[in-house]
Amino acid sequence: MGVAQEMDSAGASAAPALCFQQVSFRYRADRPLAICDFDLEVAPGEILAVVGGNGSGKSTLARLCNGLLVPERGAVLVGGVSTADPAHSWTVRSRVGLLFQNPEDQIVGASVEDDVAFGLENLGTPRADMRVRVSEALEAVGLAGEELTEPHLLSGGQKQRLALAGVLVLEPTVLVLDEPTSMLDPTGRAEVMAAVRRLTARGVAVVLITQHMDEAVVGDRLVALDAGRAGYLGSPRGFFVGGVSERFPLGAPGAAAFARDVLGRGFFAADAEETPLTEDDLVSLLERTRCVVAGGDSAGRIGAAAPVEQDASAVAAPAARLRGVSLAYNRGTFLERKALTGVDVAITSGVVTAVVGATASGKSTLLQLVAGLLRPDSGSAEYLGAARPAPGRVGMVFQRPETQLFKSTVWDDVAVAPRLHGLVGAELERRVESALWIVGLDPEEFGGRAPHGLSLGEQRRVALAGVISLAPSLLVLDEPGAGLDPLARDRLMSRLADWVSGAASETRAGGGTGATAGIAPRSLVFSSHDIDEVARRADRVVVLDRGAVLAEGPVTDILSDIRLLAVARLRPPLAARVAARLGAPPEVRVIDAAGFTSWFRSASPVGPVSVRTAGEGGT
Amino acid sequence: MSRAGLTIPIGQYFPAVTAVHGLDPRTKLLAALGFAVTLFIVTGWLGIGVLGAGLAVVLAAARVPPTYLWRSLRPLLFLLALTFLFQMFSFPGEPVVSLGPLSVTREGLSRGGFLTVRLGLLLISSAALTLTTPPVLLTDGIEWLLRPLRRVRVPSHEIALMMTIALRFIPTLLRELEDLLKAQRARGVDLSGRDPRRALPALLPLVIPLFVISFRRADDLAVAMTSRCYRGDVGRTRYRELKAGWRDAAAAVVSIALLGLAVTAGRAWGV
Repeated sequence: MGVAQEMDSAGASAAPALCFQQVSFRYRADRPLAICDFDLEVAPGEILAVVGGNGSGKSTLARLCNGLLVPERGAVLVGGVSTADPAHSWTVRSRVGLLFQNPEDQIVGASVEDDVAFGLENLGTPRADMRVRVSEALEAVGLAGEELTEPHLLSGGQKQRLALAGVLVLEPTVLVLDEPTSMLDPTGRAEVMAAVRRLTARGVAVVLITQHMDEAVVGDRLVALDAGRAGYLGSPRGFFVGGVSERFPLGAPGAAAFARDVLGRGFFAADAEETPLTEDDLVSLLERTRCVVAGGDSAGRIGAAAPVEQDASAVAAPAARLRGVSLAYNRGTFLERKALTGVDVAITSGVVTAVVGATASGKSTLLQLVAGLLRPDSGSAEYLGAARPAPGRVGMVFQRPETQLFKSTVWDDVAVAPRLHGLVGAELERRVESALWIVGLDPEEFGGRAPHGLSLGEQRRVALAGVISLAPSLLVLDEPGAGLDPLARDRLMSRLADWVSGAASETRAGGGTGATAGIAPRSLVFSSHDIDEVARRADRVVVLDRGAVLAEGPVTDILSDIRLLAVARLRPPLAARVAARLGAPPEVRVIDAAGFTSWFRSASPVGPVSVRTAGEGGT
Repeated sequence: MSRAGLTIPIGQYFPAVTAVHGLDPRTKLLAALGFAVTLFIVTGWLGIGVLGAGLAVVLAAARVPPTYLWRSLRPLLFLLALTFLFQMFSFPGEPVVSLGPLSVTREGLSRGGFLTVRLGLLLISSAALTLTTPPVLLTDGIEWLLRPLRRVRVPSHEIALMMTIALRFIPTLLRELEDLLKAQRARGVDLSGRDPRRALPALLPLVIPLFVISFRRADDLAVAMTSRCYRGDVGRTRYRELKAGWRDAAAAVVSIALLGLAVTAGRAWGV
């Protein structure tokens, strides 16, 4: 058949690779339109970023691109061919490559090369051709040499690149990426984005659906979806600087948010065009504005730039202590894998501790040891003086905990653990309801609903409530925010921080039990790949590298130490990176916007504090 | 993201470069099939001994460490023990030990032992096949062997694809199951199901989430496959080519000779 090779001969170079003409679509006749009067053209070699809140129609749009869904009105054209034309449906599918969120669910083959060849086999490509194209595709995504590896042995980023190769091998003219990085850690995310960028150089049109605004800004153009309509279509800059983005539940690129925190919103009111979208923009903006923000009330704080350390270890006994702990999996077989060696850690009571480290550094293992769910092979573990944690005192929540929900209502699922601990009646009710309030779900509104009908963020919070309902004093969370969109993620983390400080409202009336209510101090230990999140939420940090503790201490000391983080193969927080690029000496410990601001003001050449006017706009 | 390693699944492929690993999967499949059939034709200990020795030579040639084999078969031991126990009591004859109405007979011990060894060899021989053949090649081999059955409408391609997908997702679902076990245990859910009346309810916290996960995965996979132009066995070509060479011919001759010898030995010196 050779449909894959048959490139777009009808369209001249200027013709769009993908074209939506007045497209409307709904899933069922009695449902509202999921996509409504949508017009769009994507040119070869262009990256179009698609953003929008949950349920705005992003995934529907992706499925309309290759004819998985067919418009109710209007037409979707791929290289001039309508996706609704049944005679061309396989041509369309080979020209439009679709990459989804979860790489696991796209891999068919039992080995890397078999999977890449799958699409070619389906199109009846001769074997000799297949060999060449499979190795080219693997080369393009940087997986050459892994041909015979079984997919389940790959890392998340590698899996997603494998899925990408499986799509690329069909030589598509359009590549539609449906949140391709949402399940990946920062390394995997960077790998996938780099592979995508190389493709555009070859003239592939890319539709990038994303919830990460830092990814959206790489688009040549950006579409913001709002209830199935294009609420905005234009440059990413126009979207983020003009205040347009604030009408959408999306957040801002990290650089823009940081600049607003440091310089104040008023600064950009005068000249919104100054808003930085990337780290480079941010650094050059701060370079130029040094004189403007220097001096002021912070002049007296020179030399005291680092925030006050909270070292509570002297106050209370550690919530958990590991001494010389080692642990290996599959001990005594050739599959033996050392997870941790000689780990000494004390988890301070009453604070938030983050565990960070590159992939496979032993984070999950450490967390399970801290929670008392794993026993060390050698060394000792101690939980408030006891060899094992008291029942119900430690709650552990694993990655993607929403999969463990199994009851038919939210209320019943949250009640599972306290019921098993013998609670009934009013006390049970109180526990369940306060747990739901803590995670920010109204028991009256959500209690009777089915967990599987909720959004991912809500499901995650129900799963957390299911452990909080045990009233633990130590909560251990493995990647609590993974896979959530940035806003839901931040909301969740702030709830958890409030739980530790006792500020979370636990009844309808609001108001927490407070730290002074006579209860045991609450401690939280979590692992995270998002170093800026750690900088915002943690009090102390444990850095793991290849199964050993590389450093442990107050968050400001650890995360401002760029050299230490480099050894652990971690990226420093944005504030630390920017401060370093602006010439901050290593002893200045800057990890967030607030710390950066005080350093920035004190370190800038002292000049008169001037109110910025529009006329001063940088060139 | 680091994860706890599982114990070795039964018959998990053991990667190595040996003559046994290098054989065409079809040769190995047919040899294993022949072995299984012969096991049940052979009636005497001598025949069993010949088969066992042959199998031991194959495993040694494949350089599968005995500890690895042992670990990968350990979960099946209880099956063998059960067979032996059952047989021990169920043959009339000269009693050795009596427990009330039940008595262990000499014949029972002998028959039970024979059957158990037979079953054990069957398990080891299938393990030898999967230990030395990557799953991908195994499914390709099965598809090829099933091909003649297409005439009688056996969907050989679909069967092979189902097996491929099953093999592909077994590690994923096992990991999912392990995560679920840990997560439910962490919130105090008792999954042991010691009380038989509560055995099923006790498993619900695992079964329901696993179903939900599997269905969602199946759905996503179907969409991904359709997007990659899958439309059944219509004009499909194969990436892998199965090539049998002189080694396969030699292996086939040796296998047939061995199986023949076992049958003859069994006849000549029957029990």
